[in-house]
Amino acid sequence: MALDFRKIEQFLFREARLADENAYDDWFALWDDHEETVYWVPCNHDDVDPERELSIIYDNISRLNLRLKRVQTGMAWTQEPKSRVRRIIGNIEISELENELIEVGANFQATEVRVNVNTPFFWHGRYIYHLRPEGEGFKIRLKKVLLLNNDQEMTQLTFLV
Amino acid sequence: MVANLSAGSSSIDYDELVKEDRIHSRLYYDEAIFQQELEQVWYRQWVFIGHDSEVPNRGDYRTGMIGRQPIIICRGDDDKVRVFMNRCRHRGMTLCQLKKGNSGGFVCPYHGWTYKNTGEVNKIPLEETYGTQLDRNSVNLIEVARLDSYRGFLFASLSAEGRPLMENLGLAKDNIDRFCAMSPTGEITLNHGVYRMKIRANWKMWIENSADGYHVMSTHGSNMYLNAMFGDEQDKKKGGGAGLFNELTARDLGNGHAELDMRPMRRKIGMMATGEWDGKVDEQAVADYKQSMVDFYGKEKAEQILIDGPAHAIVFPNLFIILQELRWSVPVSPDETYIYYAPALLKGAPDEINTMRLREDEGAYGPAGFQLSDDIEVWQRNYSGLDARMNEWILMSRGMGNDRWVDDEGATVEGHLSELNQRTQWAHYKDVMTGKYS
Repeated sequence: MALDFRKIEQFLFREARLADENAYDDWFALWDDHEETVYWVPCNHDDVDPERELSIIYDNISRLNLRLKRVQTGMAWTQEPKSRVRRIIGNIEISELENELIEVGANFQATEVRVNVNTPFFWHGRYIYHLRPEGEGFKIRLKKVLLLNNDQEMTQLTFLV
Repeated sequence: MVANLSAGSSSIDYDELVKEDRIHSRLYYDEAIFQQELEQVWYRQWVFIGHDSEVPNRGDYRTGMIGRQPIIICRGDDDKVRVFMNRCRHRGMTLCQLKKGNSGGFVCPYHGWTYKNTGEVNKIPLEETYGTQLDRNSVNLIEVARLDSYRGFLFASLSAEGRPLMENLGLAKDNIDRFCAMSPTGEITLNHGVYRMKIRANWKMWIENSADGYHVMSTHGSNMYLNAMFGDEQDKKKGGGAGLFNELTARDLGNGHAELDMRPMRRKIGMMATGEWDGKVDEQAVADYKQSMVDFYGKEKAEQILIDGPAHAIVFPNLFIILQELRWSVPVSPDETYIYYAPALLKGAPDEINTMRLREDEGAYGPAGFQLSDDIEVWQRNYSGLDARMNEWILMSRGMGNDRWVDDEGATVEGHLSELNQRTQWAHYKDVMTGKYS
């Protein structure tokens, strides 16, 4: 399979924009409804063993759905009103995995602005995606977010990182 | 009257600032009060610093803080756990920069002094040129004045004087027992990662909130909604304002310790503590876990433990024992607090049960957790609101004048989501700050 770099890059940009704009339903539709799907933000270090160690987020598709439902209740105070976010993605690297999955790595920098806090919050790190080609597009099987500060004292993380 | 109490006035009169039914906002934001708290609370009382399972092997260490003072918790080559001030005896550099690790000792990069992991100074470069100016026995690492533990829970005090740990814990000891009782060996382990949170609020707002039953319906409204819509039968029974959640009682454990007692609610529902968050648990693992509990405790006691569930109590000034997690705080400034949240796994339980505990932790707590993120938000808004100073009183009177009773264990109890717990914390705080309790 010839990898279409431009198409993959455009998918990443679209995913990032939907997350930035808190477009929960459209963003959720990008995910693969599969028992192995994971939205993962490791804690304390990058190589967490999820069976024995804590993560900041380790969502299967069911909990990811609840996560998005929660921030739309109007009572998830951290996101009332919603964070304003814009992120830049770069240094994209692509490789093929087994099972027709494509692995994509990319660095990111996100700026988050919250209600009543004049100083923006900055988030940096690397994304690892496993994408499953479907039709003309892709579905996300894995999104792993390696935060640079995952071993430091940090504030809430309730926008879609 | 109000003006005399506010920040900037030279005297700090804790009797005027802490009333039975209300407290004054200055107690949170005043820098001079914060400095007095460091001396009276953080450098004098027993402070929770960690669990000995964080340093299971000889040479294991973990850094931390007592108040603003850096420490190293270290298991030496002699298998003894010590707590050192993280400071070179020569010119005062912090010795250890890492959060945790394993080492035979510590090296100061400034002039190359080294120390064994038991605290003795080892190499002093050009030691002979000190001549008679240096006694090497006088420059070992400094240990905390007192270190004691109960069931692996490590507490330290920087004061040589004061009552023993167990006397200070008093009735709160039972909460530690109930937390550990969830394990089919009676032992827990705490080295499975930690959430490190940086919060723009005063440390006392955290201890108030941790023993507060009244906030749950509103602060965690989003979770109540999820439970009602997507939860299992147990979740639905807990309910919101009209549900059995109102059965929780506030328990004054003495010495500033307070419990939000879940047992009355759990006993009515007949809850079993095996997996209460939204994940699915392996039925075989649950059965194996229950059997291992019966094997260790006997049938009757095991069932009572599982129905009563883990503890939910705050030990003054900085340990919160909650469900599957231990939490502890470090004060940074009047307006900033670090809080550490670590899941405890059950030694001897099936792997699936422990993995489930991790998933529960992630769902509820941490920077992205469904509950904690909103708790932090309300503490931060709570702190911001104190800038409004036309009337600086904060009300703690909920439940006063209602029924209260003393239970079999000797704790004073109030129902109806009473603020008894907050009142007892503040009364103890006043005793500590005025030197009546040490």
